[in-house]
Amino acid sequence: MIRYHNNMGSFFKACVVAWLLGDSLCSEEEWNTTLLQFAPATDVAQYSWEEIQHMLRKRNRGQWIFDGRGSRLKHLLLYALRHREDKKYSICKNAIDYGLQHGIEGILYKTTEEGKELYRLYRNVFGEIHAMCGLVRFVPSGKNTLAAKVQLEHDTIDFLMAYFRQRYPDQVLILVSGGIAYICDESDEIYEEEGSPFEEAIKSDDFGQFWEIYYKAQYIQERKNLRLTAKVIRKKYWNWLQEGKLILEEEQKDTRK
Amino acid sequence: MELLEKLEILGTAAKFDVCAASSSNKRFQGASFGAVSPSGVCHSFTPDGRCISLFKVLMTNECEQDCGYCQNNCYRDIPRARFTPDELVQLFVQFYTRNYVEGLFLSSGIRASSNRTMEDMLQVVERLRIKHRFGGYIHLKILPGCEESMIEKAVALCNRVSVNIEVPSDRHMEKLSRKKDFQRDILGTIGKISKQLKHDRQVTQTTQYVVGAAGETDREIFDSVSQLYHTYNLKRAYYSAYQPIAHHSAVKRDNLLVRENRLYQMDFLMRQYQFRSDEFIFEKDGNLNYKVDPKMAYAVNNMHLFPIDLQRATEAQLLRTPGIGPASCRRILQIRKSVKLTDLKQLKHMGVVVKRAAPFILLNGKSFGRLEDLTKGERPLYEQLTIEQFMKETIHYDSIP
Repeated sequence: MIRYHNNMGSFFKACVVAWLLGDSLCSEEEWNTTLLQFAPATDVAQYSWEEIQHMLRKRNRGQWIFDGRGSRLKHLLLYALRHREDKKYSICKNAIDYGLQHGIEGILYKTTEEGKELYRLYRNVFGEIHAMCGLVRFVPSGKNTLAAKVQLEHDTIDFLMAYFRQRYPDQVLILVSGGIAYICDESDEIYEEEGSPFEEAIKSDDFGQFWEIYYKAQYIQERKNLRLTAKVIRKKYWNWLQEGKLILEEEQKDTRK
Repeated sequence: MELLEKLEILGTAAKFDVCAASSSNKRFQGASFGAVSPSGVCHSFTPDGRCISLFKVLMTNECEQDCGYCQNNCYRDIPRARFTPDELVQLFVQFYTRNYVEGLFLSSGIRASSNRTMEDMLQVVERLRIKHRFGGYIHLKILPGCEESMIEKAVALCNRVSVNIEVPSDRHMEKLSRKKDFQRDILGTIGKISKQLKHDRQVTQTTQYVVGAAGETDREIFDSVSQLYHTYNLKRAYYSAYQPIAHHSAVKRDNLLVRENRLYQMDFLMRQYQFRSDEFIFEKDGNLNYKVDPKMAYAVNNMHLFPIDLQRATEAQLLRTPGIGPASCRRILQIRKSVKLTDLKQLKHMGVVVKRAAPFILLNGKSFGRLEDLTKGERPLYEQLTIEQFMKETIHYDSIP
């Protein structure tokens, strides 16, 4: 059994080694907390990439791992492994196995079911990050501190922090999700605290009226197109966003007609 | 006047300006707040489906110009307002800090003179860049006819600058304004910007046309925009359908939104699909065909060039095939080196719009669709036809020279 650590690089390496040796995989957490700890398991860190490359060369497979195509796959895996679905590990492993067996193009260009599934996970996670980067609203909360509530389904908090850190390099950032406040200070480390005090501060901000006025000012009524709006801003966010109620009002006007 | 009221008036006055927020310009690094992103981020969408990414406002909607297409022209009896540079800076900083917007898009009516209004606008940008050390995206409208020193300053402080050309020629401008000189005020200013940008390649220039206000044809817009791309090295052009205003209603309003859409499609074909000018199909009246997009019009009028074998087609052929865009073209070119393309599902997964592409392609020597399937508005049958059947059913022999 090949044991991997809780990061994408280790998982990817373990998948390649497991494929080469015809062995199975287990995570370090699984190994520590279940009966698997009584089974023999090799830590994937014991294999070097030079060694793996040598084994792959002998089988004449997987040379894509060491060029740009491998980087692209790792990029997809990085996001896909943050998905909330439990079967993400098997989907990612299937994609890597297919790539080793038949070549990576079928995965990268989504011409196979394995590739399509991997891209689905990637798209869901990447879509959430992209949406949150735009839709999160910060509130100044103390000296050099910005706090915001986020609506997350996947494990993406550190990606968001990295994005907002670039945008606000001098601020302490607080993202509140599911009652927990994730705080990123000058050290760039993320730590957790109770979220409710920050939620109160976020609720009490009254700058929203400026946004509401501006948002209405930008709307061109003659071009009303709620189908397009629903496509570009998913309905699950309508109730969460301040401007969502204005979109809903427009929708109700249509229903009344 | 209250700040909220000003925001409402000057936000509404700017809503017909079109812009995007992406930039790979990294020259304002080490800033206290704000960053640019090459892919841009949308911060909301209005019920018309348009994205809000920039804080898009006018410095003032007071204007001495008489442009017939403009909501803010001097003849209109509408509430007028003006931000002071400080008010605007504070408001923008609040919007940006709270992550409501991705950057600033600042335009203005011309109050007193172009130079005087430009001075106010430059003060705003300067305060953001220097006092607040803002490193994010700023798009500044250059007012027609302003001094070259102001353009130079704007280029030094912004990520993007633009002048709205509005119409394709002076003949059209004369119909809409008695005060604006197309050659001097518009083309002259675009030329001055272009000259400045030669020294600073990180900043880009765009422009905007108002579509349908002066009775111009698509062909005239096409000729004008091609000239701008070639002569002035413009990054891109935007098109905005004319919104009729009270005293200026002698304009045909039919199809303006469709027309705007077709012009965007034409523009993308020019910039990203390497279409040559002689490949666009215009109707006898000088307009594009509004029933089909320009690429489909090209394909249908050049059926002798289709169907193409996806396994062997060149990049140029792929890019001219309906349903295949630059990204799916790249994927096809890459994957066909190692995998034989045999199935429409493969194409679908690669991002090809199969319904549109099917009548124009061959996979493994077989065709999968008929031209008339496109007009049915239903899913094509994907029945497999032999080449002979395909030729018989799709090619209009009359159109072959």
